[in-house]
Amino acid sequence: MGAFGTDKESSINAMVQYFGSVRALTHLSEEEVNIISIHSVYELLHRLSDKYGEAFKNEVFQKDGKNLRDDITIAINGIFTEQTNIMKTMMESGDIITLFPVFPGGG
Amino acid sequence: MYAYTGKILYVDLTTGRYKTDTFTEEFARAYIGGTGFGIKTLIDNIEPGLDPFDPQNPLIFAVGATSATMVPCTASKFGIFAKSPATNLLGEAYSTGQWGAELRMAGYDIVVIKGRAPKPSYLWIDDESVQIRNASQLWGKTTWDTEQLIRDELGDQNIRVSAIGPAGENLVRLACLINDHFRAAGRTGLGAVAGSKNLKAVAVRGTHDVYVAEPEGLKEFCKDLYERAKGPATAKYRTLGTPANILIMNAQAAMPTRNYQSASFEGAEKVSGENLNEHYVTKIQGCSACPCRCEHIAEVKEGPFKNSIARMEYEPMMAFGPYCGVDDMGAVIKAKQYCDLYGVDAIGTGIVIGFAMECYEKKLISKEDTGGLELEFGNGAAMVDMVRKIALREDIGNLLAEGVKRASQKIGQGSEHFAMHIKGLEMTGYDIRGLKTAALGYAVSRRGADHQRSGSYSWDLSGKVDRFKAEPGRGKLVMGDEDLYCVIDSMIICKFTRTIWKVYDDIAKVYSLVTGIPMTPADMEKAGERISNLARLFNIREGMTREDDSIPERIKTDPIPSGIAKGSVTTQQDLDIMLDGYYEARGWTKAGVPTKAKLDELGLEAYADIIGKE
Amino acid sequence: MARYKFVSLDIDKCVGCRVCEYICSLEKNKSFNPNRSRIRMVRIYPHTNASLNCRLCEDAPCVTACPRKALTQSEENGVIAVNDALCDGCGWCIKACDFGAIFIDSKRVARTCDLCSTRESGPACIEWCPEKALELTTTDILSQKARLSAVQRLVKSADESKLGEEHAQK
Repeated sequence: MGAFGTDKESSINAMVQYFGSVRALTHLSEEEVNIISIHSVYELLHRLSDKYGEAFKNEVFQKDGKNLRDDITIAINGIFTEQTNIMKTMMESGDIITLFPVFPGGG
Repeated sequence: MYAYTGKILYVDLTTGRYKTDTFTEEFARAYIGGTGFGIKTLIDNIEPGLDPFDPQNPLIFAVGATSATMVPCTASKFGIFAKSPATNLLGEAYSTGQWGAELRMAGYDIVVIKGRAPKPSYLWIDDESVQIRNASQLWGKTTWDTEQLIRDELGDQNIRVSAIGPAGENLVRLACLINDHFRAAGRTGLGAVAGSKNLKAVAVRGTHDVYVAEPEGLKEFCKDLYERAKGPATAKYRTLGTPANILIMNAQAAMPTRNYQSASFEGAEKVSGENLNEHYVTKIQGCSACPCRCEHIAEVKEGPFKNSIARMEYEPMMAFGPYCGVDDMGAVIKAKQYCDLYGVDAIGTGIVIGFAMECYEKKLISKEDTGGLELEFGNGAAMVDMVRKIALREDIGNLLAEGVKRASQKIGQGSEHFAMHIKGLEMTGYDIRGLKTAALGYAVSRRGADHQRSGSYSWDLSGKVDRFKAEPGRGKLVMGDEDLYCVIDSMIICKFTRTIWKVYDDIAKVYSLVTGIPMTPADMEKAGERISNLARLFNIREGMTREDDSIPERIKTDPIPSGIAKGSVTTQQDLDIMLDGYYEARGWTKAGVPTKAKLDELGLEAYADIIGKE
Repeated sequence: MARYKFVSLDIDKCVGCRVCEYICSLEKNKSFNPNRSRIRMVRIYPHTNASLNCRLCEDAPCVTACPRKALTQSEENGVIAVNDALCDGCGWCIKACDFGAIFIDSKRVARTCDLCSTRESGPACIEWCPEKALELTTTDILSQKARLSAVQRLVKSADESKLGEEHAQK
């Protein structure tokens, strides 16, 4: 499939950054992802869920597995993207996708 | 009444007398508990314009509607209320642990303490027995020692104690009350109010049964709630917890650093939640009737701060880490522990020390003032020592103990520009230059700079609104948040489980199952609005105006220097746009005063004289 | 009998949340009152938490100690039963119990864990514990687990030292 792991020759790669509870599951603060066959951010999140399993999926998606949780923010190149736009946004080589869980309460 | 005891305990420390009174179902339905009970009791039991250290300032404890029941994350929560020595406005603070449930089981939902004891005393509530006991042997002791000594004296290790430390005794305006070791009713200086009454602690033991209206129905509903509370919605509190916010806020350039000189910290990794979990957290335990368990206990195993132990959350980590430029986790934990032992608000103390560090670096205060400490940003050891000095009012600690607003007024020389407070209460961990909705939430918060009265930063950080743009529509969002949080703080439900509740349906349902009092979701929402307005009336009566719904000077003029929020400020114009929108959403005048129509709508006609109408 | 099933705690999992106390008192007394729960949580600062309840001792000392023979132990399941008519709340049984698992209720009669005998799905505390720290087990099974755990540790350290030898030989 070649969808994961970087492919330096094709260099269609995006950088995914993880924070908080998602980082606790991936054990990585960031990774480069080959997006040659992944088009939208939404699709990317699904592929990452496949890779990291149920717990990761539950941190990102609601129980229906389709809609994003209210309390996770996705930033694309530092710009927060409204959740409905996540569904459509196409990625380009060099994009930085950041996953931020939001903590209501703050302590 | 089910669940509610219906009883109010009035204690007069001057005369040593007490009496009990009852409240009606009507009162309960209108004000729910916790916040609602506290604010209503305060406004009806205090003369306006009183000095907060006057014996007639009532110190009020109130539990929530669902106190001492199995409703998730509610059993032990309670609130403390009085006129605040920090702001001269509404003072309120909330805590949890084990204390709150004990008060309900002792048979009281509200305790009102007035007067001043002739010598150091503590209040001992043991079911129907109420005593004012000698605390001379406790005066000067830490909060932890106080709890143990009271338990030993009275011979019961299950006694719950809410106590002040030396800071409260010294009338430090940042003083708090600590219960169950790691829990604080932290902000607005209520510890100093207790200290001014010569009241060292309130000890309580309760053995009565608490009955709910529909135990089977409640159990059934709780099965579902518990599942939700153990599930993905709250998973992040059980793993990294709020300390995860250090790296998150840092990446978003929203984390106050070096007294708001910037919004991200180069040492963030070292004082991150990830580092805390890996090297310092030894146990994550729970409060009463909580399926969530999120209390992160951290210990320092080596180095100059070895053996320090404290419960860590984002705010104190921010306040003693990036805010003071400190990247030594050991110092951060030690400073937090000192706050617990000496009884000062961790957030406010960090902010005041950060302010002092900027003063020191700008040579507005000297090494002589600090008692020999090199109080520079990044000096963790000096920061730790300064916590003590503030609690004990030593050297410049004596001035800093007055809070950042008064300290900057005394120091002058332009320091007021970077004294980070609103209404006299120190700022907290969100850089509102780049978070516009949060800026509004902070500006209008009834107890001063505060993220907990509305949690409005969520809108900005979730990408649901443009965090860099000020719009009138934010007013409606903040209003909705505030009213919901009034309900949550009246039930009292833990905000960390906020997302498991379908608002307001689930809350109204649980309320009726527990108390047997009919309550629709619309009623509940109205109660929240009522309580918000009552709080506003209290503050207006104490002299608050639209001008006080403000943001610190630095927020308006010094842009965030770097990161994705680079260049952000929130101007007065931004604020005015949002304030107008907020007042309009609330049905208040342009001056921020509730209208007569609004008061009538909410059943608050009795307070019409505050707004100057018949 | 080492085969008596009782409610046992995995102390490493207990977080001191007291849900067991709330649900036990509701089950047995139809009210919330941790003081009347048959299982009790103990917290020792900073973070030691453990819930304790009746362990159905062989030849239960509480039964022997009772001056009025108000306590009896079932042959079938080891559960301690209290004859309310005979019990006068003297508390001698409390002294006899090594676990603080028996107490005198507000009605001045002794009470202890009865495994929720009238409850179809068994002990309520086990069902509700959010950490799954409680289970119904026997002392036989507990010994078995202890032995298994010991052997696993032994094998693990043997494996590790074996690696150490191989490493040294290289």
